[in-house]
Amino acid sequence: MSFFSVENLNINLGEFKLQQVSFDLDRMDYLTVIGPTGAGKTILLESIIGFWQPDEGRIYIEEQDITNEPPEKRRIGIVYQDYALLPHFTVYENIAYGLKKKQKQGIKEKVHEIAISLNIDHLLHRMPLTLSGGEQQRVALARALIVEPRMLLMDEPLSALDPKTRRETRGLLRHAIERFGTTVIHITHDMEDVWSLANKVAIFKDGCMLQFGALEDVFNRPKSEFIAEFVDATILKGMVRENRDGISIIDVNGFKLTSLDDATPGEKVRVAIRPEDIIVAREVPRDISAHNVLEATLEMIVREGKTSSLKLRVRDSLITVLVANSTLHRLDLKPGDRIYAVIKGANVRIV
Amino acid sequence: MTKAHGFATVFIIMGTIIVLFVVVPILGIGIATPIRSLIETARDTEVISSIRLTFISGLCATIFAVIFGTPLAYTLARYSFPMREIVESIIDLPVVIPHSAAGIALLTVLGRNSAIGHTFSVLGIHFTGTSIGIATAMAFVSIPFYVNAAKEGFASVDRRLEKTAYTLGASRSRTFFSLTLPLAKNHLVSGAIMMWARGISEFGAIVILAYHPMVAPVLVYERFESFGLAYSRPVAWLIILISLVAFTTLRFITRRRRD
Repeated sequence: MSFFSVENLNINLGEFKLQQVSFDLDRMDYLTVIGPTGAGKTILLESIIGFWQPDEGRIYIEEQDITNEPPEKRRIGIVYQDYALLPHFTVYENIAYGLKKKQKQGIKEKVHEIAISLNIDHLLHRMPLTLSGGEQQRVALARALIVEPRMLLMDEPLSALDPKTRRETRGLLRHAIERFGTTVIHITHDMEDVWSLANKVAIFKDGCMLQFGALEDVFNRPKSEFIAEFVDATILKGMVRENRDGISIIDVNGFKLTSLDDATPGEKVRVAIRPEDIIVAREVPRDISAHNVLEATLEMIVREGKTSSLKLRVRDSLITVLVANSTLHRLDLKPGDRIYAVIKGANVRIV
Repeated sequence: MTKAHGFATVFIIMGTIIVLFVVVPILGIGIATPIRSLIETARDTEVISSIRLTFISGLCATIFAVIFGTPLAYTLARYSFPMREIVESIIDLPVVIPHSAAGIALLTVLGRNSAIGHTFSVLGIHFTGTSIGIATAMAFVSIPFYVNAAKEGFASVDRRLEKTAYTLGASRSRTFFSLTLPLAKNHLVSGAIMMWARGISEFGAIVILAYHPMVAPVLVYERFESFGLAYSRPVAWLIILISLVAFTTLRFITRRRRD
């Protein structure tokens, strides 16, 4: 049996609900949960914690059925977006709050040790409301980890922070999670969190879990157009024309794509291509290993920090490509330019 | 004059009328009462003992409400259950019913001839004509002030703080006493002060349940009925002064602690 299992969880809270949610996690898994607002992500966390009693389904941790256990008996910690620090206690008292009943001795040492690891040891005497957002979140994290929870749940823990603090806190978070060997479920809207922290991803919409799996699986092989859009992949519909030794040639709106995935000729398929898996070139590249070289029109450039998202039109299909801003300057790319998109057959995935 | 100025002027004039409406009678009674009569009244043992009885009865009523009303306020703030709105309306009832009618209702169920009154009298507890009856009448009419303030206080405490405390292994009672209660404290204290203030000013319900021993509002009425306006005025002024000082002091202390 897995370290943690959710089996057929159903909860109806009127406005929000969860329907038939099932998944397993191994010890030290880091699951990020993504999905639009109102998808049921927070209810999932709060039902694992024990604040909502499911209408149906069971929750197991370490082979123990905790479905009917009260929150204080589950040993599952939670960190909220707005920190939920106790405003009338000092930082020290906040961190030590969960230790008080368990052990009288060694509290001071434990608090100092974790405070040093999260770089908040100089703040222990302060009141929470006098701290910055990043500092408050590190205190919340220290408070949750010090009791050595069997699992840690986080509801958008970094989204209230400015980008620089978010990066720093993410680094500290990763370090602390690795050090404690904690199994984590982390709700986020930020793909940076997903890429840099998770090994598993779940995508929720309207109370349903649309896809769950290893990070690469979900991002490379989104099961629906909704998921593809959510994870920034391009989904193209087509028909398999040929299969040569397991390599499929797919006709997509009049142009051909080669995929290393196996498919039967005549089969209608959808293929997923990740934006970072596509190379753009000014001239037709020659003598290259990639199977797919597509002539395209550059329709739009959207700058996103250090990278830019390019929308390429190939016949009637739109394909998204991610390039570094320096590439944009080097190739002198402008909307309306005729360019070439190069995609390896391994990166054209039939989903 | 601009439109904005005209708007502000109208509001200032209307607000001033309300303030004067409250202040003028209080100042009027003060101006009309010679200092000499006030000092004489302050030495009157009947007046002093009735003020003491009023304040202590009000305090007992408030303590009763704090002990029994706090769990109710928390329950109303935190849980949804069938007929919660009905319970909330019941708590508000004493505010809307005439207090003389409240006194009649209390006398009906707590009088010597009633089942409840008789049961208590066997235990040596009497409600009619006693300080217990006075405190009971005070509690009845003023309890909504405490319960509603406490309910608002508990509702203002972020539910996620409690949830987080549970996940850290804190029991329900530890969470309540270490977290919820301290964070709602200002509302509770403010509600208790308001309840006490409302309780000590009660006349209608008390006069029916316990004319004697005389609380301050009944004493003022009795002096007015027996001796007229001039004789009752120093008592009334003294009670107003003491109530104002007590109320303002309590408010000041709680505000300073809050700051």
